[in-house]
Amino acid sequence: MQNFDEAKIIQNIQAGNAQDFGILYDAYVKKIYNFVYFRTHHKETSEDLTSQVFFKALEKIRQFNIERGSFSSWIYRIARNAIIDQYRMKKDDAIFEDALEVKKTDDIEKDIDNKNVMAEIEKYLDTLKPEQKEIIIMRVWDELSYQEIAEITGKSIGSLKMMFSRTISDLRRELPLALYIVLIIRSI
Amino acid sequence: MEDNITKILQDIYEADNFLRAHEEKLKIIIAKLIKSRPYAMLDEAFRMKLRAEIMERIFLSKKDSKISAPLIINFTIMKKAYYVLGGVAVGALAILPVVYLMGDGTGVLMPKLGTNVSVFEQKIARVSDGAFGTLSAQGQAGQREGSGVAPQGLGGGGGGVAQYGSGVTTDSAIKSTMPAPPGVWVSFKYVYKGDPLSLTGEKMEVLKRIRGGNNSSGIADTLKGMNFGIANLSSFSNTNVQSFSIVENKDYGYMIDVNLTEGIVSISQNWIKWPQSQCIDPDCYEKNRLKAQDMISDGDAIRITNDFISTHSVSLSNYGKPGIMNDWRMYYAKATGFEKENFYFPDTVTVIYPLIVDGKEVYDEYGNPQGLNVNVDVKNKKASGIWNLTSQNYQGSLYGTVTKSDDIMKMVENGGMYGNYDPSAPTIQEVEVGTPTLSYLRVYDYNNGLSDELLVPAYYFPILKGLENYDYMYRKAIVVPLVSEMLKNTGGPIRILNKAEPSSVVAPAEDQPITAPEKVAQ
Repeated sequence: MQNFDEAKIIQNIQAGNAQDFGILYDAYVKKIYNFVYFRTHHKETSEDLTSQVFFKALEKIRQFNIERGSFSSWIYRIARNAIIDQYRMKKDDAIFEDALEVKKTDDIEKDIDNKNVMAEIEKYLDTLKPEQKEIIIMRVWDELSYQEIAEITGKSIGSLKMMFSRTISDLRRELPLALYIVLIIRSI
Repeated sequence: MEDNITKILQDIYEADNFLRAHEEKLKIIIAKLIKSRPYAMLDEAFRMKLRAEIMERIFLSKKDSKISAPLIINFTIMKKAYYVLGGVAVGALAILPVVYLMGDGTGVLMPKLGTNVSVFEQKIARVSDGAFGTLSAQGQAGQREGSGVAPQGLGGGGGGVAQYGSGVTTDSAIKSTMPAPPGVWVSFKYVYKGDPLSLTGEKMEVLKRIRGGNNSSGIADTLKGMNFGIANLSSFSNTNVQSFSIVENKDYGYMIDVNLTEGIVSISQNWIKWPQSQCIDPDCYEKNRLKAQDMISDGDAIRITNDFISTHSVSLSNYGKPGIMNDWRMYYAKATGFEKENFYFPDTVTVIYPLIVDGKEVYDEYGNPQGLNVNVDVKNKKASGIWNLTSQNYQGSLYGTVTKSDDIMKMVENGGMYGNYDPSAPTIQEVEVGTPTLSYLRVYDYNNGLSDELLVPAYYFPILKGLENYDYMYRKAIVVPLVSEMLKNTGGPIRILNKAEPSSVVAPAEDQPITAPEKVAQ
């Protein structure tokens, strides 16, 4: 959690003290980079998209309305859109959901210690619907709250909780204990 | 990790109390699972580079940096100017006054016709603490910004061991690495004779000059649209204008060089329009050498440069009272016999308008004032150029400062950052220094063809006496940086460690199809 008044910072920025954007950058750059990297597993692409996200946020921050949601959700949403746009540009036949999956590339095996665990998780995640996968990833890997996921995806918290609990319930029947835990440890 | 595991266990039990019976096993599993989480390594160099780009964009895009600022250079006074690109006078007029005018806050640099450069207005944008990386001193002596200074009497003096000899003037600056004159080995010990030091606080602001930015793609597009008949310039893509030159096509005309990348404007003689020496043999050169009676007074030199600055509307709002580099007078006064008869009188003298940033003067590590240099051609009694007219946009970042006056005194005694006082030398010459003034130390870091310019808070200790008989010791002060980490790492020019490498990261295009956030459920 940030130890500063985010609303106050944004008010300052919108009042013309744009240099305060640096505070937000410091607070969010790693989160946004991680968010992108978890979905691309490509360093250069992640850096490029992270740059786009922050420049876009800087450009649009005067339009941001704190009463309609948190800055956190807003910038994650920009990141999510940037990833989707990236896939649309790269792949003619890309579908929306592709951008939200955990990528199965060689790169991913380089950045985890337990390849077998990850392979098993991928196997079970493949059985989920795209929207289920997105929620699982946001909760488990991105450590986002239901409130944040709701603001990012535009879904209600109630429907998210219901979807998540059903997903976990389904997985529990299929997954070994360890894999079950990895999915529910941040689901509360 | 233990706390984290405990917290996760609580969350798990809230979701499924059945698992409480397997706690010991769960702890092991959770520990393994935490370690197996995908690891995304945010490159620190990238983080810093992107931050710097964002802050630079913010700074350059502030609405109050618009042209309403005091006018600095009125280029239109050079009415007969044309571009060295040749025959593109119309394009030149469109390009010239352009730079750095901000648009609607989106950060895009927009060309603006018929206006004047405002980038030289001084501004400081605060950024987070330690934003410029670790400041250190290491490596070999670096280059210095081309200063266009007069050839004599400039430069810093070595702070360390030297050998005593007769005063000999040279054409170049003398650093501590100069070969010592033959004679007796003398080491200089600097002794503080001023008031007790007062330390200003735990943190002080280091400034980094923001260069030009070079988002001048619009200018490049204009030029590309012109047909030069030798190549299709429009076939090149993603172009920017990095620099351009204008020459004044008249007697005693000038050449104006604008470096958009570095944010520097220089004015020099358009040589073909100035009188040229007709000499082709040494005797002729000797006969036409300047003599004592040809030299102009310091007052006349400053009057000439003031007139030049006034004529061309160069703003002096960031600069202090001018001073003149006239060390040649001291050397001439001391010279005798053959040296006096054959003394070289400089054909150019330099007037310095010291840069004032945030109320403080700026010096190099040898105590030389940094600022606007205006040269005077002695033979023609005209200003011959201006150097170091730089953009004055800075980022400011707090750094930890020295907390013990003893640390400062130790560096003073040693002769500054690059001094090497040796108490074992056969002859120790004590040099007295007085009460310091708070100033800035200008240092450069050259990387990938670009220079990062930092202004570091420093104490300027004036030298009171002790160097009168050591002509090769040009220095007038000891400058000690107050950033603590710089005092711990001396022995070479300041380097910015862990500095971000240039990145290919670019800002999204204006038509970037990232959608704005929609109204969301809460």
